[in-house]
Amino acid sequence: MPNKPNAKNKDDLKVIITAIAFTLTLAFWNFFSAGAQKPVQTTNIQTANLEPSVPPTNQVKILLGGPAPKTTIFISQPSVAQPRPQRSAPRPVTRTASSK
Amino acid sequence: MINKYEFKAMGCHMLAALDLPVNVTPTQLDQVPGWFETWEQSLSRFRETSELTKLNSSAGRPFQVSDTLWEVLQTALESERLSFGLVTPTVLDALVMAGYDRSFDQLPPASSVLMRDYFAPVGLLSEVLLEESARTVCLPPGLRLDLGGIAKGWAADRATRRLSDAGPALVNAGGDIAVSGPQSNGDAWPIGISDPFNPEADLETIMINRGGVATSGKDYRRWQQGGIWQHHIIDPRTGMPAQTDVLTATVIAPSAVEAEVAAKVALISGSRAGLDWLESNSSLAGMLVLEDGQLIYSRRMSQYQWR
Repeated sequence: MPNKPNAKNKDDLKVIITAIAFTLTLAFWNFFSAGAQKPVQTTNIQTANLEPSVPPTNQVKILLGGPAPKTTIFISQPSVAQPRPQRSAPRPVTRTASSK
Repeated sequence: MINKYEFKAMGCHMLAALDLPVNVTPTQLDQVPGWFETWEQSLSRFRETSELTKLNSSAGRPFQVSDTLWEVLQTALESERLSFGLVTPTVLDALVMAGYDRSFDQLPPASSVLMRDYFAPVGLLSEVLLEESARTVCLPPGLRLDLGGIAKGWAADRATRRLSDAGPALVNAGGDIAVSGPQSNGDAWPIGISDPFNPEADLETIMINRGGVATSGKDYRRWQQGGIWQHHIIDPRTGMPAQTDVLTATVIAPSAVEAEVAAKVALISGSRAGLDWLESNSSLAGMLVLEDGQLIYSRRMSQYQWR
């Protein structure tokens, strides 16, 4: 039995609407989730900002708006005092002692 | 650049240091031994021809003294006042009776001479008639002077002041050290405090910008008399070598002569009273080494210790 004349058009429309809805969902998700992020507690935490590595050329970059985030590594440090680096005393110019 | 000159004077090892630019010749240092020779000729009790020896043999009559001897006597008088009589030059006879009757390098390590069994407090310089207008001193019979440590501290201060016209200077007169000011680069002068139990090693390194440091001790100038150990720090209250638990006392003060006097006070007084006295004087900081090896620091000492 032959297809109905405009059945393919309907399918195409469904795909387009689905794609737009999916894209909008992702966009809104990304937009609102960024504002809802809570600041990270950084007491006793040492942070190190690293430059993002250059993506390989064969990888597609997904852009959802804004610059690519920097990678942040959190390193938890124990709260004990670090030992001071030892400095050696300067060589004395002279010495004091009982009169000699 | 720190230039050093070492020599012997006043029966001790001396060092003069002058901080000058690299291309400047330290000619001033060559003059220092001459200064000490002049002062020793005036202030030594071991030289038969010295001015002090002549003064000591002039008991009972006024003796006119030089500017140098007058100035050192005035310094000794002030030291006696500040130390409540514990540091006085009137101890010569007590020193001789204890066996210290010649310069230390000629002293036998042990003498068979028995100690006298009677000691008496010594007189004070404040009881001596000093006539300023005529610059005369009239010693009472039976009282003779030994300017020992006072003379060395005074000489270190005086030599440092003279050298400081050329640049930052330091003079060490047998352990009494005077410093004119910081080094040319702004750093304090590092000075070691010798360990009396291991003289080749230092117990501490202290950093001194200006002023004086001195150590008084019974670890080196000591000898046996009649089988009993004696030393050269006389307690004027008894006329005997001081009975104390302090082996050496090192003091930092505004001048070398003040440091010398304060170190003697701390040593004669003993660890407890000596430390209390150091703490009560805001211009002093000190460290005591006790006979049992303990180290005791006054609170202000931490300002000078190398960290």
